[in-house]
Amino acid sequence: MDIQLKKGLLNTCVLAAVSKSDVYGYQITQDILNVMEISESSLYPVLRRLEKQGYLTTYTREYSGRLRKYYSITPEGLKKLDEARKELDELKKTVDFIMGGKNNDA
Amino acid sequence: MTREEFMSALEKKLYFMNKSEREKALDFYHEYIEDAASSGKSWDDIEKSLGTPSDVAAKIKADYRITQVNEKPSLSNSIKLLIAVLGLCSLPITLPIAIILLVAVVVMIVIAFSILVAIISGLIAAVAAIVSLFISAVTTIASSPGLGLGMLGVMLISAGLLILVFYGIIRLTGAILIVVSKLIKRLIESMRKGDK
Repeated sequence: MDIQLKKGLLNTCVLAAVSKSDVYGYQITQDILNVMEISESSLYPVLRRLEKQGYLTTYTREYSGRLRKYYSITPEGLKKLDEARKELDELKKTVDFIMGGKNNDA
Repeated sequence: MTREEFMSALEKKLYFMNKSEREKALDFYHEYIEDAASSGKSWDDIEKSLGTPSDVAAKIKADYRITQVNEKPSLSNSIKLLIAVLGLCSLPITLPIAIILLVAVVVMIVIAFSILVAIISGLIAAVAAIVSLFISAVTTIASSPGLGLGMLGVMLISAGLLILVFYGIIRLTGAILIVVSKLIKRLIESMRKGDK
């Protein structure tokens, strides 16, 4: 995938993943890797930035005798995700058109 | 390298950040490595997928500088961002176009400065020439007054011209500085608006 396109989608992917359930660092990295080819060190900057922008919030829980930091989505984050989804819906129309005969059922 | 060496190298490369940010980043990777190991991955595999401490730090740094420019758009923060971004292999998508314009402005400033230096050297040479003309004029007056006074006259006219040129250059430099500072202000404003 075009690298700039990928990076733009990464933010939205992270928001979508966190909106499904609260996640911790390693978990979300593996989740995103399933749907996008990125380098694993790309996740932390995205998480940090989204938290700074107020779209994510964090808390710590104990796990096997150590602390784990969890990320959860804020109302602003959900709003942002919604906006992104609307944009992607529009994009989908264009993509469907381009794919044209390839994807048509009729 | 070992896990401890990795974390220690990463910590060193994160010294550009303040303590709280640095600790958050290190905590993240410390936990990440722990969770990866718990899920059965060997340290070798983890290291391979993370990359070098430099790679990890470079990404964190670039993003850190981007948020700094958004929070406090200033020339120094923009230049720090530019330097951090130069350390990456590809540009982060959140990089404002304004940064590229900033490079153009910096180049313009450098060129303007070089021209200024050249002009000043020329002026210094001119002043030196006029001073030596004055000295020869004064020494000539004693032996041949007419010639000496003539030389003095030429010297005075040259000095007058030089003062006019000097004044013109000062005004021109002032105007250039005003234009450049307006451009920089506009850049900073566009950076403030540009990033969502």
